[in-house]
Amino acid sequence: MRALGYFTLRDLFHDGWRSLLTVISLAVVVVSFLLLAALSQAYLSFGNQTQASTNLMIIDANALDPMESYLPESILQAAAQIAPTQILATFPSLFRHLDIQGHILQIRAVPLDDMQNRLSLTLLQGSWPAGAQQMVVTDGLIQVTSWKIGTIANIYGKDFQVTGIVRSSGSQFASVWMTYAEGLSLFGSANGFQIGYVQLTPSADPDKVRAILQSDPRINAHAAVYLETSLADRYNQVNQNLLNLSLVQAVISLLAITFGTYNAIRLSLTERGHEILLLHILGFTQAKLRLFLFTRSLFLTLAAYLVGWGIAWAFITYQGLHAPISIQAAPLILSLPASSSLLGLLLSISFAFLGVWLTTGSLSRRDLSALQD
Amino acid sequence: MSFHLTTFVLGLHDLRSRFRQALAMAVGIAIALSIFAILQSYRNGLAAEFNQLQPNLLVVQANQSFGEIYGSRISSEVGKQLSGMGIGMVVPEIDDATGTSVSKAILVRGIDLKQYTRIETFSMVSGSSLHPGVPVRTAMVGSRLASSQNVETGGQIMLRGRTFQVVGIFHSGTYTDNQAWISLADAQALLDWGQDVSVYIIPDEGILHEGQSLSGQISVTRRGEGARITVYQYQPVLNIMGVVAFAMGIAIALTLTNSLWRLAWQRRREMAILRTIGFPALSLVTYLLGQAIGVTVLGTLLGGIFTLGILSAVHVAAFGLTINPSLDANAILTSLGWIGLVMIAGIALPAWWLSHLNLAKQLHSD
Repeated sequence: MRALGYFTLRDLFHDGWRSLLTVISLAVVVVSFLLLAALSQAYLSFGNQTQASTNLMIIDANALDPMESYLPESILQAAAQIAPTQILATFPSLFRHLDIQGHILQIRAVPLDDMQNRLSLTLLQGSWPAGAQQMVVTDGLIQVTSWKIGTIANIYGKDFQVTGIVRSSGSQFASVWMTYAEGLSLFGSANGFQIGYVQLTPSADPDKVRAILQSDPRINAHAAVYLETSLADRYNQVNQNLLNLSLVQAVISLLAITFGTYNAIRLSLTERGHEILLLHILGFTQAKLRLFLFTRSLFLTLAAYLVGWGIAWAFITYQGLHAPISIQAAPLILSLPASSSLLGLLLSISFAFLGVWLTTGSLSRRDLSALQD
Repeated sequence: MSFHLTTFVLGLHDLRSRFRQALAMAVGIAIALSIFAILQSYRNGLAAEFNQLQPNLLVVQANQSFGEIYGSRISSEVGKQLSGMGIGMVVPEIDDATGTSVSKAILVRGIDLKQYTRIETFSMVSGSSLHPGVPVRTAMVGSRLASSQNVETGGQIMLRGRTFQVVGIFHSGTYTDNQAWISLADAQALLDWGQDVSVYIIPDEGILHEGQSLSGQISVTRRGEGARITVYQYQPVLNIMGVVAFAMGIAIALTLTNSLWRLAWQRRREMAILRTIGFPALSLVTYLLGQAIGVTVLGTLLGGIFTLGILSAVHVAAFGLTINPSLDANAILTSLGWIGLVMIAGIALPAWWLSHLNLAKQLHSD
């Protein structure tokens, strides 16, 4: 095995320029695959909840986007009466998707006490909004904008100042949070509120309470009750098609490795007919020749993968720092987790092996005497 | 000229004798071409359907919203205010998305039956357009929505749980082909909006300007801007796919370089002989060109099949909007230009090497 490795490496270095060209071309394919894989991974984790919430949400049954939900105050009172022992608190929330400085962001307004204590928001920096025209923003928003504490942004005609950065233990939406009073002064109260939050007691079963609320005519006449996590699920649907497109393209790009390997080996075999014949005469079987060629391809693929992974990582890091992506206020975060990287490596090796197999398959059918000329 | 033709044909013959290798190179080209063509088709489709700013029309909507798609609701008092300013044409409109899930959403537009033909450009595929006096719950449906919902003229479509009679199917060539158009009154009743509307469309006659704000909560924007903002979010994703397409082009150019270089190297002695009998140095480049063109033509045919297959199998749609890839003449020519560049890049190095071939050395090589 050691001799095989030594022989292969000597061969690759002997034909250095061609090896380099092959490595570069395969590396570029690897970059393509890893970028598409990172994009697919980003779609998969897009809007995902990192922690399950036990809160329930009441939204207008006909509203596709929560911003189009219009609920009356009475619906929260009804909810509290329907399951008084399982519901700890109810509170309203105003919700808008707005285009602010070229980014589509979520604007949410809830009573300050509920913001601090019932929504699993953790203050990372700064302070909660205490005065007029103040807001806190999520770290998800920081990822897609260049905002920081002290930034002033115009929202719906009024200037608001960022007083703090919060993290939601749930989703990573790019959200602006302000007090309910500020929200009302901004958007008015004529159309009610958009989301009714229902905080359950620790012992309550969210699915059961959801079913109880949903079956009551005071609720189901106009509204639907969801688990808080379902808001993220709605956004996941947006990207399902894009995920499919990326996956198809990723697989296609890997096929290029197969044909790149096939070409490289085929050329080697054509040029080295005499050497291969000599190896046969010396007792090298078809299987051993195939092993040699596979080892050669393996070295080339590993080198290409290493280079390609480095380039893809640099690109993704740059993209994350300088040109972050968000869709419907949810950051689309490109990453190269170990699982994707390992899968990419295994697939690359498999496709390279396929290239070797395709080449040596045709070789085995060839009359060895044809190599003697 | 005959020298060039001879070496060109020789190159093609040589390629034919190595068909499997030529096929492998062609598949590589097909992969690069299809990735580029798919991207180009989606870019074209987005530009054609969502990037149609109308210079002569403005939209008055809720501030910072994208009211031409959904998300704006303003009072009918705004319409009166606009008329009071002396604006000649004030067309109310409702735009909303209905449905039970993002993937099954249907876009609805409530139109002013008396005025909508002054601001909309469309043609009827079948049936008739809406006009003043049509019965309530009557709809005209965009061609793409009709196709996705399997609706025909004379049939019915469900909007927010209510049945609407389809009197016609229209085609505009923009994202509005995804919409169901109903009367403004029907839309207000359907959404339970009272007299509210989503937007007012007004002519750009100098009274109001793009970017202007009315009382802080209402703003003026260019017509088409809402649709552009909605899909602009996907631009960075397309840019990443652009990087991938570019990278694949480089990879294939390098593979071509490697292969053509080595194929020519295997024929170095024959080429040296050709030079000694009077073939000009440039004719050896024609030999390479013949091989490159042969491989590229085959790759382009395969790439075309890949592209059509993928575009017909994968559909990108969300929030009731189908992003329709447009494989038009522009996309095809751009893709062919791209693959031509890849081919030229692929033969540049071998061509340079051939033009510097040491004749005497090659004749002594064997």
